[in-house]
Amino acid sequence: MKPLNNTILALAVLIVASLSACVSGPVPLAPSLGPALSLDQTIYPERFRTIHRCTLSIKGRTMVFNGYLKVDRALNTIKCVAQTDMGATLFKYAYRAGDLTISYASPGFKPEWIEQFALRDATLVCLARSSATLSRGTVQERILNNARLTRYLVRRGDTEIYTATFTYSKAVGPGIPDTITIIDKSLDYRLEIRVMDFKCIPENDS
Amino acid sequence: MTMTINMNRPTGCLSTALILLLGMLFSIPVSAQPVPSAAREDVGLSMAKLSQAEVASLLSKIEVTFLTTTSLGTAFEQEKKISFFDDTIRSTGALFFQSPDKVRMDTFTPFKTSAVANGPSAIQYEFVNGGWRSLDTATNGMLHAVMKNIISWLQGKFNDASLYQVTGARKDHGTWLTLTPKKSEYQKHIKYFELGINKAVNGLDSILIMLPDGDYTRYKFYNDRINVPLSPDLFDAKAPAPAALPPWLDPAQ
Repeated sequence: MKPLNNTILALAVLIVASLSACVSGPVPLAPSLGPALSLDQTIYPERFRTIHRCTLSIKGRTMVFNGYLKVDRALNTIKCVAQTDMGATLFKYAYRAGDLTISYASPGFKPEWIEQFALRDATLVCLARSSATLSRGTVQERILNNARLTRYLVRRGDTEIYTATFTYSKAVGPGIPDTITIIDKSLDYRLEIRVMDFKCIPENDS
Repeated sequence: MTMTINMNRPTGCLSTALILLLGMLFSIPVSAQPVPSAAREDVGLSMAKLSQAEVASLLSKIEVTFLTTTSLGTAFEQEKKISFFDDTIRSTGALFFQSPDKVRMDTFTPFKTSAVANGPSAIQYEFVNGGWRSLDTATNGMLHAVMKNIISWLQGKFNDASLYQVTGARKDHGTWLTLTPKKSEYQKHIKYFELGINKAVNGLDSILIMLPDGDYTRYKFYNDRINVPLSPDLFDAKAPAPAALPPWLDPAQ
């Protein structure tokens, strides 16, 4: 390998690239109750680790980051770290059967946002059960296609306030969604997750 | 186990934090502190530390190269270690720079993305469903400040010696500089940066970003070209899609 001839420049470029991928400040978010699930639909194996490429838009502002998750559905656990392309951590948490421990949150991420949004969506996607609770007057629905979950939604009357759409291909694995799009209309919140890598974990390795 | 969310945690700005990191990167004070033993253990290296004078000399040599570089392109491989993953996560990409204020970073695998900064403008492109999509980051006012910092650094202006403890060490195939944040508020975010300098002390082999919890990201650079002509289109931050890469760094070629 031939070396790069400018240490400082390389560092600077990495930082700039990371900056350009981020919103410029904390996005004001109103508290919102997410859906409560009791889904029995199984779309994942019991234990796995996965890498998500996430594009998050809130109130017209967009950022991209990478999510690294290790999941044990039997134990109802998620370990998650979100990082920028450069390698800076945005947040890191461990969730176990209703308890959330946030080990790191960057200055741009309020811990309550991690609970209300990141954990809410991760539990829906990875555990098929949500950490959040339904607000009064809302109902949840699941839409299956060929025995696969393709859409989950929460409605208030005729208005869909929260939806998660699962699309499948053979790229990731049989029965594994390769794209999940989550929309929370109450917040102009849209999270697109592309599954970049997915590996089952043997029971004795979890 | 109880929920450990601290609702009273001070809030700030993500970009501000990164700006602070940038400021840390741009400030390289020299000290006579020993090489952190934990640092060496983290990456499995055992090296002889450099004296204060040797570190100062090394930094001087590096600084000389700053003003001679007007453009560059280099490929990189990124390695990432996450504490709860058994395997190392790898990605590939390329970096470009054109003096005085244009930079671009592309990731090729496992996803395709391109971030371009050109003067006060910046844009992020993401390749989705067979096409490029531009993301709205044009309002990122912090980027302009970053560019000013980059220019300042390229001009060799290291006017803040309060942020880093810099140490050096040598091994057979190269030299390492370790930049450890001095302030506890920064230490919460970054444990240290490690710069791998080549044996001839005229270039960089790698950058290691070590986080406080032991997770790290390492960049290894290769196939670089210095002061070669680069198309202005490469840094167009207003185009609907990123311009094609030079053939020598385009993985599709």
